[in-house]
Amino acid sequence: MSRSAEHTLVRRAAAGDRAAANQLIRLHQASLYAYLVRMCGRPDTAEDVVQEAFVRVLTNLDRFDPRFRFSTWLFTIARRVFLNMCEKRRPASDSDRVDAWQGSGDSPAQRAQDRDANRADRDELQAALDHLPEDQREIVILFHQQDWPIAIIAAHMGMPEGTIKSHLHRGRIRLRDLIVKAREQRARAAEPAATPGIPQEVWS
Amino acid sequence: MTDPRTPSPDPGRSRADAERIVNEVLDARAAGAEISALETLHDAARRDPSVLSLLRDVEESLHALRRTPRAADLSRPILARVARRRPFLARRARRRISATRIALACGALATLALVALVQRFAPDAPLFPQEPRPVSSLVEASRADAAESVRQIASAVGSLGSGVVSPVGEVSARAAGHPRRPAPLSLGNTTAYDSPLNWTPTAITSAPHHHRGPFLAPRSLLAAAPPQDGALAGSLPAQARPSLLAPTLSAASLQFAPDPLSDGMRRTLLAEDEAFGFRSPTSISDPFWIPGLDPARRPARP
Repeated sequence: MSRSAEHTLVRRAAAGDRAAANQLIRLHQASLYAYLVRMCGRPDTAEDVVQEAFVRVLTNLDRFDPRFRFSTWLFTIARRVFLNMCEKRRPASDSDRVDAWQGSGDSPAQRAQDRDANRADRDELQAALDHLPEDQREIVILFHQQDWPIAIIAAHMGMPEGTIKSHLHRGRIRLRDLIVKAREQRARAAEPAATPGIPQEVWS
Repeated sequence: MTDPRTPSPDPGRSRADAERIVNEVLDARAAGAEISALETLHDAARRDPSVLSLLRDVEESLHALRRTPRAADLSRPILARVARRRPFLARRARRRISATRIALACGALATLALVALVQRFAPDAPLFPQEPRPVSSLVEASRADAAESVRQIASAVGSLGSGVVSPVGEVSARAAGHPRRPAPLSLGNTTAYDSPLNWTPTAITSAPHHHRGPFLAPRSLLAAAPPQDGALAGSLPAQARPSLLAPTLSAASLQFAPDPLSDGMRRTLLAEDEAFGFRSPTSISDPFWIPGLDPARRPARP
């Protein structure tokens, strides 16, 4: 969507147009939810933050500065809501709940198939993301999941672009190392179970 | 001769180089410079093949990050909460509000244009009432308060100035027609800094009565500088300089310390002066000097 069309939509929503507000929600809720669920690792927390951020944004649309993108403003407010929520309750990773949300729109068979195929990868990824420092995690998510440019990430996080780049470089490599390490551990743990002739309880 | 495909002997350095190359390649791809990224990767892979595996692992992990979880549709609960805080309007109501706003803006513009026209063609026409309003009365009240404060400060300064005692001897010497001229300075000679008088109004009032000298000093002062017209008894002459203690005060505002002589006593003493043929002394350096008295019969100093 072009910026002018987005601003028209924002103006209509600010004037009290329910359809325009609904369209804004539908345009941005998926990306915002994906960002937040990777940030906190809990779908219920991410859902709460998405709702609260949209409510705040839609009730204060007259404060929107048209020089910026609506998504940037929305993500900034969502980040603040998320940080405030983290102050109240520290989120813990809950990958099962993430999986439960992943296939919510498909048929049960497809959901089960998705779950079987990607569950291990998603567990590894979320565990690796949870082990990254918060700044690195957010920068990696915004750059590689949301495709934000470095300059916008720097403005969003209030850091120089050089700092963002160094966080991004370190975060990528660390994410890969964590995932590889988790795979190796999983492979080591799976080896004894595949060894014939040795009872399972010996390894447990 | 070394083979360019030979891995670097230092594994730590090799790993750091590989990470740097991977980051360069990923940044170049993100910036849309695919060709330069491929060239960089090709050169690096010839030197260290482990770069390729590292790049593959990093890309896999980032690819997993792009598989975003599907979100539930939250639009209904969000819109319900928004509507509770700020109700949505139907299209007709929004149009009505827009028309009302446009009408109000047009009305305001028309009013301004009318006022401008009236002021241009009839500048004397009273467009705005001049009656005092609450804000203007508040301004007046604060102005009056400020004036009263200034008056109080001025009276306080005046009362301070009335307490300042001027150097009487200097004034009397000037009034007697003997302006003090600075003597030429010489080493060790401090007479230029010594006051020619060694008495003060305090010394006059505290001196013993039987010497009569202290009471003559005011007489000599009166004879030397009688009160001028329009000046209060005891006030400085108009040409007198203000005291050093109050350099910013005007001469007219300075006054002596309260004169111990009453008007009747002053008149009596002036009559005595005339009867004794008193003349103004050329210098008043001796507080116990008595007119008409032989210096040999002068009373001893206390």
